[in-house]
Amino acid sequence: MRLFLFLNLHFMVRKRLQTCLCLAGIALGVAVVVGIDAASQSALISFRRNVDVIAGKATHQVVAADGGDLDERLFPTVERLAGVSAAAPVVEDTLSIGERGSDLLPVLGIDPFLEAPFRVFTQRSPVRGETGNANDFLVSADKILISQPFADRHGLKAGDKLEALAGAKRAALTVAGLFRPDVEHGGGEALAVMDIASAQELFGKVGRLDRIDLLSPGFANGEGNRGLPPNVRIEPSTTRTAHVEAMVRSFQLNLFALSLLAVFVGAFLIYNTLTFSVIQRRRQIGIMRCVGMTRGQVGALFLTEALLMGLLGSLLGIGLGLLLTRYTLGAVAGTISTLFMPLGETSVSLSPLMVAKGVVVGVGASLAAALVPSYEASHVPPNAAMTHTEAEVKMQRWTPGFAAGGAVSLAVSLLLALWPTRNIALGLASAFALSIGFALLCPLISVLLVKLSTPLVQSVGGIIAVLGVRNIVGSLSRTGPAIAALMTALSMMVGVGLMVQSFRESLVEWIGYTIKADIYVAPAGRSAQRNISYLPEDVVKSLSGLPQVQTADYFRLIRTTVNGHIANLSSVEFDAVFSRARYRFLQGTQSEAHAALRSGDSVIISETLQAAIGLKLGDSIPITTPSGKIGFRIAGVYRDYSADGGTILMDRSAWLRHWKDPRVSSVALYLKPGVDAEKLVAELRGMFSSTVGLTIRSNAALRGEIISIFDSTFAITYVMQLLTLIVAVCGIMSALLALLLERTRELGTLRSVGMTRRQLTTMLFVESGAMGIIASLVGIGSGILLAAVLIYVVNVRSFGWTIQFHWFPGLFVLAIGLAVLAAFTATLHPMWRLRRMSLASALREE
Amino acid sequence: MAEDTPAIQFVKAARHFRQGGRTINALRGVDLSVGRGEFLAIVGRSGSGKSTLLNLACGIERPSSGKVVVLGQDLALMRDDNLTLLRRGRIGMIFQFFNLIPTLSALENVLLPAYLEGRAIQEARKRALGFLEEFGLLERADEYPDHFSGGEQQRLAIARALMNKPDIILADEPTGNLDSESALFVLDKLRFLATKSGCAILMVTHSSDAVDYADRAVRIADGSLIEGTPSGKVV
Repeated sequence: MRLFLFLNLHFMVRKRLQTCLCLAGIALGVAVVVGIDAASQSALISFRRNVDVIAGKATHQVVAADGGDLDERLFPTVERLAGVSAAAPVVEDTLSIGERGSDLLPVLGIDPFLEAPFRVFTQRSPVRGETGNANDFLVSADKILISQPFADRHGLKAGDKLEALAGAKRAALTVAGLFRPDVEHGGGEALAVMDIASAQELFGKVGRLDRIDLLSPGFANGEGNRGLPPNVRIEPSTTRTAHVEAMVRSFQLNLFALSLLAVFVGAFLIYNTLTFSVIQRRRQIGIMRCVGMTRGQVGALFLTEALLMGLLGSLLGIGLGLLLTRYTLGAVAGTISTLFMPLGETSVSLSPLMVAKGVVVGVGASLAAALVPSYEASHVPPNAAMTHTEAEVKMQRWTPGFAAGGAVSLAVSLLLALWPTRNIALGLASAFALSIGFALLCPLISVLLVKLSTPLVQSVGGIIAVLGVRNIVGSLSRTGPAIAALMTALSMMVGVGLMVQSFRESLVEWIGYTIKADIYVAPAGRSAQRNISYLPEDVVKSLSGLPQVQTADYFRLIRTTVNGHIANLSSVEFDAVFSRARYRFLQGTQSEAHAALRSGDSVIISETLQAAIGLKLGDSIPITTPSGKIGFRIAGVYRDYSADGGTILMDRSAWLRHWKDPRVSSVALYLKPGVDAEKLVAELRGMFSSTVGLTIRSNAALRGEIISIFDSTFAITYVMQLLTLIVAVCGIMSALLALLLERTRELGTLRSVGMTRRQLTTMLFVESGAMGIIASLVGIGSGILLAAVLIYVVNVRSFGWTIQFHWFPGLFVLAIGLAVLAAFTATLHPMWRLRRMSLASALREE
Repeated sequence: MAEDTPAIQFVKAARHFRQGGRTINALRGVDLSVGRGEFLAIVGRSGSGKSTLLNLACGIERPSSGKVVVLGQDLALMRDDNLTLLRRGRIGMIFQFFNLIPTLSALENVLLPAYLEGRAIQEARKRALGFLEEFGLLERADEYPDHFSGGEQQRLAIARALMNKPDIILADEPTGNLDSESALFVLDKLRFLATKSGCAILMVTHSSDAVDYADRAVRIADGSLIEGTPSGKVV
């Protein structure tokens, strides 16, 4: 083993540029995997800790199954339920802090006299300069206790004033004291506590509760009702975490699959480096075999080299991945904060398991890529260890076999794509099989493309160009893997790019036919639980009385559960909405649905919900109302991108009839012809700014905001594509360097028989450019199919919505341009070395 | 250039280089001329400096001191591109290991110097096919070099060297890797070129048989030309 290490380290140092390129490739691939993994896990850990703090020791919670809140008069009944040893009422909402209301502070409204069995908030002793008494929060409605980390982040201390938005309401609060959540593993970094009565008043929930926490260890793990009113449900307190974990897992799985593609690209680099190593060390192998090294030992020598590179690359990659996590964590934590709960400052948690996963991926890919070169090295006779020419002969012999393997892989991909299942992992496996299939087909496609294009190349560029392109086939053992690596990176770029752009275009179309009102008014205070923000009643009245308004849609949104699936339930004024908007109905028509929605208990559902619960037009969908579960008839299934869990839309008249709750989440105003919307937006802002916090946006502003959120959500994929492309550039540079070293004598011959430096430069650029073009052509073809798998298989199985496939020729031009640029860039260093090469010594090279 | 001007002239040509902190004197002030139509053989042991002499003659190495004049041009005064053009147009090179381009067919290998020159392809093609016919390889014009035997590859290499009608042929151990029959063919061809085409031929060789085909031969040892007769007409 020591001999192996010595021989390998010596060789790696001697060929340090090749080694560095290979290490960079492995490190970047591992970095992407670790970066995504660490971000998802860190956000999830932070979320779990926050849930632990907020739920405390509660085993179960009583919630409103109709998506609303609970009447506080229910509390005594719950408290007396058999099996309940303790109960505590809770109001849970969110304050928006800061100039743009962007910093969210979850608030727990608690009854301090019932809290002890559930949560303990240890008060921090007052320090100099602090005023007031923390216990004041019991008697003053504007007093609030905040967590120490949040206070530190905002420079707050006891006695300070805190300006915040509670929905649309402007609140001037006073920090009564600071506390530390008394939990073992942290969490609750961003949390505030108020007296329950103060919280009810602040958030407009007088007489209402968001939940009742229970200590009821004897209750079952499933949901139940235990004789409570029909709109009430008792569920284990872990239910909330389970929903988020499912969401994060899906997000994580998709990104993890993309990150594995980066490792896949890196594997080509390792393969190339190892093959190069075998060829370069053929004399050494021959000598070692002659002095008694067995075949197994020769194979082990090269596997050790791969292991060393895999380990070093993985360790570097883990470090780089942590840097990358700073970027990716924001994306994941932001999604959880927006949809479920503000996470506050989330720190990166790197567990031994994540490190192990990074090492396993890096070393595993290295060893897998090293298998063929190691086998090659161990199976040549001692007196004739493999030469470059032999490697080429073998490559040519294996090319049809690779192609056959590629065809099989494509067939597997097709089978997995068409398999009637909703399994996301199988969809991603289809995408992987597709990438592997095209990578294996690359050598054969390269040979065919070169053969087909040679007459054209000759007529345009003469023998120099022909030499350039023929070198690709002549050195296929080198160029094949490099082209495959670049092709895979480009395929990912085109595939993911087409998917994202198609999604974006579908979203733009959807916005075009659904977002039709002229002005949208909503509470400025953001809320992680969107069902609990309302517009003040006087604001709604003022808006509906505006003379410029032709009609208005009073929108109400809650979260509900249908057959165990969480969905958005929205009530809208269909007369107003359908007066302008033309929804895309996948089942039913807008006019039929409109009539049904107006006349009775009908709803329309989004295709995402349909995909999740499997109901169709005409079926009855069970929705929990305050008076219990009611079956609403599905009057249509429409396309919708507003929520990944799915949406149920009902007419406001039906909502009021069943829920009897006139509160409004937001208002959409449809203006009379000729009214200047932007001018009215400015007027409304002036009218309300001093009293309430509202977000008032014109149609164009709202559309822009939706697109901007979309773009920031997908920004992470661009970073991954860029990193994968860099790995591919390392691959092609490594291949060209190896080619240059192996063909030194050939290049020397060309120079000696009269090829000028310029002609040589042209030849090498033609060669690398042609590699780039071949990689981009195959990459575009593969990318289009990858996009189809992502759009029609992975996306449908992950989210359930249909994306219209859109073509973006600009993306193809970009792929070709980037490929050629990458190939040219990779040529610069070999070119520089070539120019420094002595012609005499080149001719002496074996 | 006057007819009596030597095709190649080494004037006190020396070549030193550093290796591991030591100075190696590969050539020590060599004076030598090769006339037009003359076939000169250089003999010597490995490391004696004979290949360096050949490299200086084609300008892929430059003398450390002294000068090398080829076809009336002092190579030290020529830029790299001009040296390349000189090699391409007026010097043909033959190597011990043939150095054919594996990605070009037999015909394309022969045509390579003409292609690089940008010469009229039809005319060059006719000439290349003529060579292949003359060397018995016409039927295999479209095959790639790795399908040819050593002797056949060397014939291709000679055809490539002759493609641009060179004034000088530089041959580095042209028979070193061939069987005796192929070696005879190559030597006959070189002899013919010197006699009938007026080519100056400078051949480096280990083989005493090869020396017999030369007009004269010189021995080189430790970078210097020495007196003596390896065989045949050695100066």
